[in-house]
This record gives sequence, structure tokens and C-alpha cells, in this order.
Amino acid sequence: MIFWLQQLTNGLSLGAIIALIALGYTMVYGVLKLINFAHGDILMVGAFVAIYAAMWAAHYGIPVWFPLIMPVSMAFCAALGVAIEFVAYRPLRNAPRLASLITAIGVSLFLESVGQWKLGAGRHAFPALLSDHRIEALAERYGFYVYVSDLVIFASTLLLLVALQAIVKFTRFGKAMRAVSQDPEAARLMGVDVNRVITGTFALGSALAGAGGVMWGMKFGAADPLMGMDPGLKAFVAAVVGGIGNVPGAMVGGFIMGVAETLVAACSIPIGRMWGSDLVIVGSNYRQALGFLILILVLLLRPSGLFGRHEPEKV
Amino acid sequence: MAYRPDPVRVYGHWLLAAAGLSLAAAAIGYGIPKVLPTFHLDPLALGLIYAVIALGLNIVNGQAGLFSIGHAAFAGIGAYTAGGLSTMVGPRLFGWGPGMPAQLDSPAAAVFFMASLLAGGLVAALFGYLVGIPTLRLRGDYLAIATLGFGEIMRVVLDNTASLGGPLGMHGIPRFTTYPVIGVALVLTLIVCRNIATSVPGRCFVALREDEIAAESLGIATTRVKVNAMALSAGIAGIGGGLLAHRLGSYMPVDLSWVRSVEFVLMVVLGGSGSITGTVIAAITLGMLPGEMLQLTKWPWLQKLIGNKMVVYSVLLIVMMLVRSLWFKGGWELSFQWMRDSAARLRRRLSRREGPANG
Repeated sequence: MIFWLQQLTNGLSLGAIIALIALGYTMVYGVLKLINFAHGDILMVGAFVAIYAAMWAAHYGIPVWFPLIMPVSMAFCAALGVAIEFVAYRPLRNAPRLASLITAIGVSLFLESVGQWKLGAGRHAFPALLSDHRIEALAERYGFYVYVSDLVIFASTLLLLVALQAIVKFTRFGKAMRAVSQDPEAARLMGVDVNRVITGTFALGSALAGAGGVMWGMKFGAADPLMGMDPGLKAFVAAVVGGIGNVPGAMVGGFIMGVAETLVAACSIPIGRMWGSDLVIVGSNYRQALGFLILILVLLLRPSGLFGRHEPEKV
Repeated sequence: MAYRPDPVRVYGHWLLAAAGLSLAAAAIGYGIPKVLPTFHLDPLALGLIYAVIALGLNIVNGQAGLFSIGHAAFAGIGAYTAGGLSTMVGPRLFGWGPGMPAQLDSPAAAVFFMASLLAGGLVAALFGYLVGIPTLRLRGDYLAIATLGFGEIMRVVLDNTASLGGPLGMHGIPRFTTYPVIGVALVLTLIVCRNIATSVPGRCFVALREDEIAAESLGIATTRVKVNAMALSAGIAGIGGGLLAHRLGSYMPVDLSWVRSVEFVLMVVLGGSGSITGTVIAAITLGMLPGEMLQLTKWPWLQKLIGNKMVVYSVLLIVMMLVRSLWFKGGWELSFQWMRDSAARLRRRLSRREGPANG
């Protein structure tokens, strides 16, 4: 029982990060109807910015604290996101959507390969930005491990999620964003500067990706130029599961993905004996496939996601 | 008197085409290895095999306008099937020892090789069909992600299948894919693709790409046509994968990853989505690129410049999309019709130049 509770906790802390990354996908899709394939790689850049910022801070005697490092990453990623939007997506605003999808893949490959080229393909140790204390009372009495760092990650993720929701719901910019996502043409006619909204959305989403990158790096203790692929794909799946374009949906989808993956990774299912040895499906071997299985199932059963509204196609 | 068409006029272009294509196959199969320096042969062979796979993808991505990022997986399924037949069944049938034969040593073995390639294509087509039925109701981006997901699932499953070599993949596949084999395979693929493109199914694909709702209102069963396109395209990619496995001698789960699929997509897009000629040219160019870059030791600066294949790829991809209007013509084909037309155009221009009286 404690085992599964433990796995559930792990899943929730993973899911929070995935939810954070998924928001970037979902917001960009909402306003631009574009799958920003480079989102995962912006996350990678965020993680590396944090590594170098921490090194730099340590060099100049500035305390290497999580609340100091993360904003640096977020700001850098926001700028990067805006730059990518300006160079790669803006010229294709009126092109067929496939064209911008291919450009997005190109940007993703570009960031990955430049990362491998300049940073090396190996793994870089991620600095410990938070203490690795765990809550001793729980550990001693129940053997249930809860780390302070996980709690901080979880709390700051929730904080960011709430902040984002507030921005979308209560600010003028959020209102403009919602208007653009409903109907860009009508929004333009109402005097909304669509391009500026899109730029802002990219900045916001990429900042969240940067935060996600720092947390992902802290959680797994390492960063490498290809690290963005895995969380990127998972977050994308989470966004689709929740109904892409739908902000609360992406959060729920992220938690579903995190928990499902952790629980499946904890399973090993014996499926019988063959040639004198036990055949076991080891869940953790298939954790990467699981997300896509969920994705395909959701797409089949509810193509517009759990919270998405089905929109009939018009001529 | 009954109408008797002149057989030369009716069947003449058939004969001409057959002769030309046999000549092309022979030229690829026997001419190129004689003419080209040895160190260009391996990269070119890869390029030609990639052309087969890219032609398969061209049906889905180029003609039907469905975006698939899972074709490396279909090629991989074909490769594993054909390679598995060669390494597991072949030795029992033909007594191939631990060291596989260097070439096809008997007509029976050649037939077996062809059958295993076809089996690879069929299994891949079956997978294409099964994947297509549920996912092809999705559109655009969703379809892309679903095919990507399928490819990644296949990769993870193969990674975990010990009997197929696990992450190390399949090794010791006999290297049967020689130049004549490639020549015949490529020419056959070209014939199939060209005939599909100019017949009812191909026109249906293009109609779907141009406007799905309009196509539906014309009575095209959109989902069925899409599934057919997917199965066909996966089958051709599967045959190409079998060829590739028998050229490389090994095939790994990594070869099924979506990054490889993106390379195939790049070939189709670079060739001007939908154009068979363009796809072949782009596939040969991009397929040869890595191998040829190894030989650039003479020009270190150039080697350094394009030394990182994926950087070049990604920049190409972005720039190509940005200057799309120059590329996205897509309609051009190297065909008899085009030759006739351009000859006529040339003649007209020449005759105009002779004197102003004609103009």
C-alpha cells in the first residue's frame, strides 16, 4: 500500500512538471493552431541556462538558489521563444499549416543538433539547487519518502499554474489571447494586435518550458541536448489528452500522464512461462510507449480530448 | 471495314517505355558500378534505396496530403521481416552457414530473397492498414502525432523484444542488395508510383489533398481512400526497408525512431511534395550526403561546415519552408509529355528567332 502511495506521489510530482510544459503547447496551439515541436528543446535550453547560470553564480559568490536561477532560465527561454517565433513561424503565418509544422520540426532538430555540436552529446550534471532533505518523520514511521525538493517543485509548479490561469482569465492580455484563440479574424477586427498576442503567448509558453526544464533537470539530476524530446512528447500527449487549446485540460492531462507513467513503470506483469523461464512484461521498459498508447486511445475515443469541444468542420 | 488501329501507334509507347525502363534498370544495375569510382558506390546505393522508401512516403505525404512521421517504422517492419526471414528461415532452406553467403548463390535463393522482400512489404502494408483504420480519421497535426506515436511504440517494443536482438537489433543479415537488385526494385517502384499517380486512386489522393470536403461531396470515400494510401505507402516503404537491411547487414530499433522518419519527410518535401521525379532526386542527394561527406577530407573547411549532418538538415528544412514559393511547385515530372512539350516549345522559339515574319 505504501509502495503504491509512494508511486502515486512520484507520479504527481512528475505530472506537475509535465502539466507545466503541456501548458506551453496548449497555449501556442490555441492562438496559432501550430504544434510547436521546438517546445521540448526550449526546455532543454532552459535546463542548460540554469546549469551555466549556477556555474556563473557560484563563480561570483552569488548563492545558487532555486528562486534566483529559475527566473534567469525563464527569461532566457521567453526571449528564445519570441526569437524563434519571429524567425521561423511569423513568415509562415498565412502558409498551409503543414509548412509551419515542418518548420517547427526543423527548429527542434536545429536546437538539438546545435546543442549536441556545441555542448557535446554527453550528460551534464545538474547542480543541486535545492536541499535533498526528506521528511524524516514519514520516512522513519512509514518508509514513505517525501523529499523537500519534490515538495518545492510541486508547490512552485502549482504557483505557476495558478498564475497562468490568472493571467489568462483576468488580464487584458489574457482576454486578447482568448479572443485570438476563438477567432483571429474577429479579434483583429475588434482591434486586437494579433501578432503581439502571439508573441506574448510564445514568451509565456517558453518561460513555462524554461521553468519546466529547470525542474526536470533537478528531478533527474542531469541535462543533455536530447533531454527535451522525452518531456516534450509527453507534455504534448498530455495537452492532446486534455484537449489541445484548453488550459485546465492540459493541467489535468499532465497529471494523468505523470501518474499513469509512474504507476506503469512500477508494475511488472507475469504473463506465463515459456521455454522454462518466466515471461514478465516489465513496465518500466515500456514507459515510453505508454504515453503514445494513451494518446492513440484518447484520439480514438475522444478525438478532441477529455475537455475539448468538438468543432464540426466548415467549408 | 472494321477499324484497325495501327499497332505501332497504340502499343508503340508501351514498347518504348518498357525498353527505356529496362535500359534504366540495367544502367543502374550494371552501368553505374562500372562507371562510378568504388568509393561513391556505397553512398549512392543508400541514396537509391532511400528513394524507394521516399517514393512510398510520397504517396501519403505528397499526393494524399496526409502528414505521416512514422514511415521509418514501416520501413523498419519491412526490414525486420525480410531480415528475419533471411537470417532465420534462409539457413534452414539453403544451408547458409554461420557466415552468410556474400551473394545470392542460386536462383532458388534469389526467389526466396524476392519473396522475403515482398513479405516485408506485405507485413508493413498490413501494419499501415491497421494503423490507418483508426488514425486516419484524424486530420493534419493529429495524424502526424498519431503516426509518430505508432513509430515510437514500435521502436520501444523492438527494443524490448529479446528474440529480435533487443536494442542491438538484427545482425548478420546477408548482403544481397546489390546494384542490379536496387536497379530493378527502383524501376519497379517508379512504375507502380507513376501508374498510381496517373490513375483513379492517385487522382483520388490528390483530390483529398486539395480539398477533403469537396472530394467527399464528389463521392470519394475519404477514410477508405486514406487507409488505402497509407497501406500502399507503408508497403513500398517496407520493401525499401528490406532492401536497406540487406544492404547494411544490420537493422536496429534506433532506425525506427521518428528522427529517421523526419529524414524521409525531408526528402519528399525537398522534392516538391507530390513530384515523383523530385522525390527521387532529393532522396538520392540527401541519402548520399552523409557518405559523401566522409570523403571530403580534401576540403577540411567544407567538411567542417557541413560536418554536422543534422544542423545542415534542420537549417535546410527551415529555409526551404521559408522560401516555400520557390519549391512548392510540386507538379513537375520528368515525363514523355514534358519532353514533348519542351521540345515543341524549343522548336517554336527557334522558329520565332528565324524571322520576324513568323512571329
